[in-house]
Amino acid sequence: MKGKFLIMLHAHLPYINHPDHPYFMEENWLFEAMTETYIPILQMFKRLARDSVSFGITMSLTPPLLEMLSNKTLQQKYRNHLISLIELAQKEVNTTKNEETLKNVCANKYLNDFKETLDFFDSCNGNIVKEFQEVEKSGNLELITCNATHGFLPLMRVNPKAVHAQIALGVKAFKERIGKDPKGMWLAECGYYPGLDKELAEQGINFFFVDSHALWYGDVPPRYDVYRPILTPHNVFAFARDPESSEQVWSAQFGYPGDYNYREFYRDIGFDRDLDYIRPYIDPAGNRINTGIKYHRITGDVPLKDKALYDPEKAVETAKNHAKDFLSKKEAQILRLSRSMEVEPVIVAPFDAELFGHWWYEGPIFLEYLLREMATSSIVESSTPSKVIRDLENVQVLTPAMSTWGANGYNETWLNGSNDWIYLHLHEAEERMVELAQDYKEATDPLYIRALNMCARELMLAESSDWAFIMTTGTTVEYAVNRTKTHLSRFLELYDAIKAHNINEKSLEYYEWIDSIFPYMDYKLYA
Amino acid sequence: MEGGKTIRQLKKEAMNLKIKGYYNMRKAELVEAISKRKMELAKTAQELKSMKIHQLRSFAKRLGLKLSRGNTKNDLVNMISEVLSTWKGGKKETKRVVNISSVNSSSSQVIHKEAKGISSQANLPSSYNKDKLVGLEVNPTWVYFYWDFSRKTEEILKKHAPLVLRVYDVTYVNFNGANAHRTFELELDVNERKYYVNVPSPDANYIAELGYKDGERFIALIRSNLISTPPASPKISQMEVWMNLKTRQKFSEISVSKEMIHVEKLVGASSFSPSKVVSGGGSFIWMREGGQK
Repeated sequence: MKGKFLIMLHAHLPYINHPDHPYFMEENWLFEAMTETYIPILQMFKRLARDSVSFGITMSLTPPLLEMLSNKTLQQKYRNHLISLIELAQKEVNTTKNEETLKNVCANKYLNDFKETLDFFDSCNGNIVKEFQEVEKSGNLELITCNATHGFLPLMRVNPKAVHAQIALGVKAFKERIGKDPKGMWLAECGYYPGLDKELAEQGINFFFVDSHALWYGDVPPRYDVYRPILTPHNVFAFARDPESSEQVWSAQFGYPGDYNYREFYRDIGFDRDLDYIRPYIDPAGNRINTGIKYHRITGDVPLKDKALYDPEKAVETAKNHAKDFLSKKEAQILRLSRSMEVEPVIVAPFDAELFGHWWYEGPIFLEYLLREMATSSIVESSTPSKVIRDLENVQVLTPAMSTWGANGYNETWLNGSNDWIYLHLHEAEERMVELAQDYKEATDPLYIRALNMCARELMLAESSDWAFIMTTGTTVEYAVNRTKTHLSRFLELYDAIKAHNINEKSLEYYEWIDSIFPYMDYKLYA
Repeated sequence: MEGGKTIRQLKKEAMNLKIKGYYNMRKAELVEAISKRKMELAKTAQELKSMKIHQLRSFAKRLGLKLSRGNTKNDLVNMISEVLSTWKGGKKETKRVVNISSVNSSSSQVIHKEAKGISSQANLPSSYNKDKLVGLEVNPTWVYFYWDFSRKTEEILKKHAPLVLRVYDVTYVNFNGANAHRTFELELDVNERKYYVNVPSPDANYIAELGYKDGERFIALIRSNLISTPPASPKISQMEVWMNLKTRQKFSEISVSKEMIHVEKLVGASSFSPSKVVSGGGSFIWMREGGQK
């Protein structure tokens, strides 16, 4: 029996959609992730399928991401963004003719890549969600969902109905956008607490993921450490993260992405080129931003200005070697674990999908070679949770401990001096939402139903763990604070309007347009 | 020290330090805000040497230093230290707060947060006029409390200052107000609306009450939710429960002597700084300035 390796890519971005602005800087997060991560991963799947390589990979496409990817306005904005990027790359090809050869090589590569990206995007009519569904049909990819807006559940548990709504809507969103029931759920930030499994079971979720210490500190020690799934008291399977794999891939100190041959994220022509030259491709307000065209490699611990030029061939070579190295480490780990296990080890490696491509530019190449090499290994094979569960005979039953995958393993990232003020307001809004849902359970007036659903949308948008996270990390804090306050005050306004029987249809319409997430929202989830 | 400056000088300085809302501040407020900011910056300065170059760059920018691409790590450390050394006098003016009223992941992040300034077109109420005490687990030994009062309660408490926060260890207890294992107490200013509390044990249950003291007697006005701190170590267990998935039958097995020993992460540092935070996994995408390397 071969050991199993479960790669789990968590694809998520907070819902950022500003239809009232032709350009909105934070919308670029989606565009960058499209160009650098989502489309390259889909292209990788296509190449693997073409070469009949069988593999196993799990991806959570979160509801806000699905909503953004399905949004026509954002699709159009992305297409324009890409066309402008191609134009810039074309200019770069000409400009770099008089510069170092490697720069010119890179410029040509970017031009070529961006054109292919556009072709890909157009070939699926701008709807890349469909492409993920197609790949899933092959059996190599397992798609799972996430709780509605990536709300951080451990700090929501004082309001069980708010937790229920997050889970239930996560299931509903997947059904709406992917067209079937999700078997698994990624809990935002891997945030779990005992009892949450009951809610998951009731929503038909068969498995979820936890961090290592959820099992280590569980009510009974796990017999096979984190190397076998366990069953919770409410009969949901939990897969725990392997600390070794995480460390090897993305430790800031020892991980592969820090290799000196890899592309340097922080050196971008958006900052290097003359302002007049680059102006059409940055923030129209004149603020320099990353364009995605970068000519330098990490080089070493040197100032940004001393970075050496990026050599794409060398970088690909490095990624291939890293894939080989990683595979041999996984094989050694399986052999080592097998000596003390009577059943085959299951190694679980969850990552933010955006690590691959966006941060670690060569990440998708690494993944592709890893999957190709692993397909020929006699010791380990890549697999998916549902396949592993199908082959289980006996499973240990235990209650995982409260845990997250944040710094230090608990709630500190989402609860500290920079963001603690949000919980008074979030909890109050959650209580009021439950009150409304119960008071208006039988509502039939379409205007009230619309207002109630809008309340639920505003609440859920405010609940995104991303805002608290951004406040902690300290970049674009103002945006996160504004989003939290804006959604909460829209909620409070609508709440007052409903209570006063004074719903202003005009402003309701405006909110429905500006915060148009989840057209299928159902406020009764809070009742 | 700051007091000797004109209000105009102070405002200019506050602007450079990116102090939020400085333009509406009175002189005394400016003096206080400036020295507070400087103290925070100075605290971070102790960690300069261990900072990454991009962190140094953003820190330097916050101090209003002009940077060029050519600045090396050492240049940056020197430039920053120089600015900070001119502030030493100001440090003594502010009384050091002993009890923290907020937990920060690292001091550099506080600066980040405040320097960016928090402004918004939308304003949220500061109170919902409801009696409420909520405890949230930060980690195995810290609990965050926030509370809100009805006007009536607020009036009572203003008459009976200070506020008293009691925390009861109610692990395995059906709490009736008097049967806790241990009771902890803390006095707070009536204007406080949140507090971080260091509780004695992980994997324990707590309930808190907020009220005041009438002589020796504690008068509780609001009771919290049940707080369950997460465990921080493995349990010792004799019995495992298993399920046969074909028959859906559960069965017990005595746990076999452990051959599988996992090695837990050891956290350490070459010198001790109380705000040291070790980064775990997850949510990688937004670490724009704290990314890899």
